[in-house]
Amino acid sequence: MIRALVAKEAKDLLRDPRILLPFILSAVAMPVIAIVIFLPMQSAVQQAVTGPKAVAVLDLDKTAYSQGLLSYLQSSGVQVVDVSGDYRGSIQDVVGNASRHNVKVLLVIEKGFGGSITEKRRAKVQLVSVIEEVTIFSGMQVAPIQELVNNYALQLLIKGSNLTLDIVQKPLNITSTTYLASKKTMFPCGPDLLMGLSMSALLVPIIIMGVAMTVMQMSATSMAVENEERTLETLLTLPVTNTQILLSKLLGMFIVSLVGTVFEVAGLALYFATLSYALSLPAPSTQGALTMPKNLAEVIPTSSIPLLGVSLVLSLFFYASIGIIIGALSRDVRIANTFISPIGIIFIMPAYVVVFAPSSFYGPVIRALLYILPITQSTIMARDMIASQLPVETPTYLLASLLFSLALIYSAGKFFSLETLSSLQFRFAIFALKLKKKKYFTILL
Amino acid sequence: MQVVVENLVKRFGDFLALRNVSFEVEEGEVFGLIGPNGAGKTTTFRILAGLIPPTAGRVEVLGEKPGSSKLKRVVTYLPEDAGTYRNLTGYEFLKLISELYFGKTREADEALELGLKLASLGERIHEKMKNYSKGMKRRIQVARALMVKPKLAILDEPTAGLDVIHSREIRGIIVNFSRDLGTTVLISSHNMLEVENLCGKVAMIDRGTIVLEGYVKELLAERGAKNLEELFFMATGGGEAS
Repeated sequence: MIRALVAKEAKDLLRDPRILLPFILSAVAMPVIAIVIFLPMQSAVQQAVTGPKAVAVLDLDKTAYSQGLLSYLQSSGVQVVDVSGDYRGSIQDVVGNASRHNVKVLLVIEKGFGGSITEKRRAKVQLVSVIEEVTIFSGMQVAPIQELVNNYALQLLIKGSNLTLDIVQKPLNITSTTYLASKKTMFPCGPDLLMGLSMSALLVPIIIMGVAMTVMQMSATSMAVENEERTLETLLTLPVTNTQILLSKLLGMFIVSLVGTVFEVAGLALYFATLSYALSLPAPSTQGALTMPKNLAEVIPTSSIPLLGVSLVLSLFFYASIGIIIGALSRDVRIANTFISPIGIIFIMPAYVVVFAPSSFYGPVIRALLYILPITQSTIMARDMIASQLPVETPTYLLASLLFSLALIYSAGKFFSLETLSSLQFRFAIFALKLKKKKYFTILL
Repeated sequence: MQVVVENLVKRFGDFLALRNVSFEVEEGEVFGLIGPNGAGKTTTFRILAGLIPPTAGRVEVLGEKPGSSKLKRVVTYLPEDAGTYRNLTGYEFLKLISELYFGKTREADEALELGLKLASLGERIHEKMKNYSKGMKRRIQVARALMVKPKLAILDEPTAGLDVIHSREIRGIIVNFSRDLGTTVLISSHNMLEVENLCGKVAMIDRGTIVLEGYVKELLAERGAKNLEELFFMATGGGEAS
């Protein structure tokens, strides 16, 4: 019997373009966002790596060493524009002239440069980057110039010794490795370069957040429509129990949200694929890049993946339940929409605390609770399965989480009568009205 | 007795919606609860359908307390402003109802067939209900309430908002159905003429109180009124709904 109701829900929702459209749009928007990020990134990186290198030079030292630096830069393929003639006591004036020559880096060779080199002391230069605006890619063109200036100074400093430039640049062969105790795994890099791992752990909450908000919105809308269109009253007199009504709504919503999740995940996959392509471009320096271990299976045990899948399904189930309860309490879709965003944020927030807080932050009881609560379960599981390991009690936690959601639906079914709903809807509507008035008042202030 | 209502009281907070309402409906009767808007008709019907509980008084439907799972199978309720599922076709909706009542049985097929006949929407039954006119939606709802051959059908303002032609059609469906199958029908309406044409027995309600109850012909003869409207004004002293 419930099958007929579930089918009705799924049909009614899937045929409504307002339901699936947000999923499809977000799937399309994600790679577009990635391209928007990727294009300036690509342009900046390529300009820095392969683009013409030019530097304006203000030589205040005027020694053989400073002149030697200019020749060294030129011989290294850098176009050197001598702007020393423009100097009137202020570097800012020179910078202005340099930028008119379309040169984005000004090298100021300070007085005493040559003397310092002769005395084997640290010589002084100043590198001024000219940028149009502050962006994350601005100033990338200074890195190769800085490297050349350093190399020139190093060559002079080691002259006459047995040292080579390569030795001075990298005096030790340091092999940096990391041992992840919880996984008993050794990684061939320092812990700073394992940042990619924690980024992976962030992925799951991002997916959940996107899907959860949409699922909550959809379920709340679907239930509120029953109130608005006056179909709920009929539904409550049909030979089905209130819990069956809620459960069928939930399952119908769940089917739709699974379809929606496919779009969402596809969008995210495209987003990361686009960004990965951008990150794979040659960069001036490899330091700080997101490094992932080559063999992911070493980090994520394959047996954990189905458990995470189950947890994701349970989370969707829970968020749909919350949406349905909000929808049931809303007299119309407008009221449901007023409440869904703030309530959604409250429910999603704990997941982010879990992502950023280290395991030592909470004791065993809180940890067990985080594993049981559907709002935090997937996040803590994703984090632990990548960054450490899942507790042996995980299947029990999953079961407890399912029971938690079912208990929620069962309890909701108990108070799900027309009179209780009408009374609660009335109070909910008054509260929403007050909330709106307060909002408008704040805006006016 | 199919329906017994005795000293029914319903209170919403400080507001007293029904004050000691009493009436009885016999098997196979078409009973009309009439009164102006806000008189308490919908509240009475919602209590009979088991949607809201009474504050006080005795209410029995087919010898049981309203709202039981057993009653849900044999009592149907058509709310005054019942909506339809926008993205389902009329056919899908009626099929859903037949399956909810009878599962996937022969009875369900028969109920669906009857529903299609009562709705009489022709090929448009396969269109999404969002494209239906108000009259078509109401026909679907009436068909839904009657197709499962209930022992008692509670129809709240079944012709509300419909034009003369559609109202007449709906009235025809109800009368024929009750006559052919012996179903007890409770109808509420603020249209006294409609009730006079449809019902054998009526109760007049005003401001939550039953002011008159009895068989239409007897009441008119006793009071010397030309029609129910005149009778209502005589009983209430020309009072208006609160």
